[in-house]
Amino acid sequence: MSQTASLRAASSGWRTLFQQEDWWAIWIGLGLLAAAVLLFDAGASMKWIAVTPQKWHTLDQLLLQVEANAGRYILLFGLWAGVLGIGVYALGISLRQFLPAFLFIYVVSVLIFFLGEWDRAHEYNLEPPLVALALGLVIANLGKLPAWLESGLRVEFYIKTGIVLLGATLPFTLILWAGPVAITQATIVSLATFGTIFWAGKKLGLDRRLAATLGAGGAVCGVSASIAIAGAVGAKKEHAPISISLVVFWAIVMIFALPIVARSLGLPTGVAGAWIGTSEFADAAGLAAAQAYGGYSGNVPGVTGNPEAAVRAFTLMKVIGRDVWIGIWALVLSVVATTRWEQTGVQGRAGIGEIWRRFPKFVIGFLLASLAVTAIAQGYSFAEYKSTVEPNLVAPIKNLRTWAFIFCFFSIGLTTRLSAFTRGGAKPFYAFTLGVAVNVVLGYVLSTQVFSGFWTALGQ
Amino acid sequence: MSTAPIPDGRRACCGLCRHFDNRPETVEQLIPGLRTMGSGYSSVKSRDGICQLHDRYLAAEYHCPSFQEATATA
Repeated sequence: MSQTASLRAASSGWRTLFQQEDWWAIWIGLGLLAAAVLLFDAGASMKWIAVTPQKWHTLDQLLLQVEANAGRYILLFGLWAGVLGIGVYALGISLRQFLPAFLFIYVVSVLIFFLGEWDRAHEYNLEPPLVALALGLVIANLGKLPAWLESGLRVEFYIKTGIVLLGATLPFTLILWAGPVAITQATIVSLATFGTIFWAGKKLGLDRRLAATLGAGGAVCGVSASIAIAGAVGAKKEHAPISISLVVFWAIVMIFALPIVARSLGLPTGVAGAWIGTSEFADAAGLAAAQAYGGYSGNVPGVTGNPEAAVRAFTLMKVIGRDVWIGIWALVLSVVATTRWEQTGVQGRAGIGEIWRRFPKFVIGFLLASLAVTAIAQGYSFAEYKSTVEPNLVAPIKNLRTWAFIFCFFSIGLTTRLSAFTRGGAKPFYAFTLGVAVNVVLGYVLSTQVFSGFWTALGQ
Repeated sequence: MSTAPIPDGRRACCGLCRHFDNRPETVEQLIPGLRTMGSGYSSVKSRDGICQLHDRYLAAEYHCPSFQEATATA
């Protein structure tokens, strides 16, 4: 252990650019975008390889589609296996194990995507994100997964790559316009949720470090916040797993519950996306819910707004409003833990560098991708943008983004063990659940009442 | 409590201690559920790891009187 521990501890500076999956998500996302731009400049397009299933009604139509595009799907697998393979290899994960596992994930993702394009899929709630998650859950919890599959289940790698690609489909001007509102709304809910869970945890007699880990998990960015705060405050080894199991439990519940409730209330896509962004607990889970809800637009009576608005509002709220502040949460809680809480036998206090060290770097890629495509679009009229830039440059990137998200949603299901939800006992559950209640209600009020006009406009 | 320097001039801290393990694959194994919606390879984890002596998950910059330098370094 000692040798590797020293090696990892010494890793810093430019080396981290090739040792963290956040950076690899940036390299892959921006690399794919650069390739798309080069092809676009040359008068070509990446759309041939960025293939996605089209709507079908009969099995014959489906088979014809598969037959006509089989080669494109094989090449798309090669593209994804190549770029993701380079990333995981650099992270030290065995390619020999990753590639067969990814092949399995890809093939099932193709089947799920085709199912989602059945013209009656919405009647049966067969949205690809929800099917991917549910299928993964069933497979993982009916038996033990083979060991070779584990290497391919890189939920965060897929979602971060997808979010960088998402940046290319989101105008930078929209981020500047909506960012302040997203930050305001997210900050109100984050502070209220953290305060509720921490207060309840203390009242129930929980260790303050556990209460803080639970609070950040519910308020900021779910599993990522749980490990960031557990590390910053020097929590007991079992604290992070307790918080993670509660985050995952409620995140899975909310993936299904929020779209169902929003649909029954007929919320516009932008409003629902903002609510999901405020009240979901993890990026991956929230994107599954937001993408599923976006799919209702035009397919489910009563759901209005641009289908993209749900994912856009979610991303603004979750990534810009909540995720990027994790370093500040870690810094503040580290100082409080060291100066105000009981001693633990180890000491340490984070410095200002903590904010950058824990910054979710993939957000940089998301912003750069948005800036790049916005700058390119400046040279075109609106009509030219709709007829040329969107179909030949933006649409293929959006298709690749959708693939990355489906890989992620299926992997969430495959890595979720329902038996783990009982970890930690009743008191952490009560404290966290009280925070969930505050989070969901406050998020609903802010999204549908206080900032309703703003989020509705986002979807039009 | 201040951190004492070790022979090569670096400050003694968990990140240089033999009781500490922050390898992403180990952290993912020892923190069940982490891979479901998180990762041991992410930026937010920073250089945090597990101290087998104190049974805590903490930042590499932490320190304690039980520090023992890792025997082999890069």
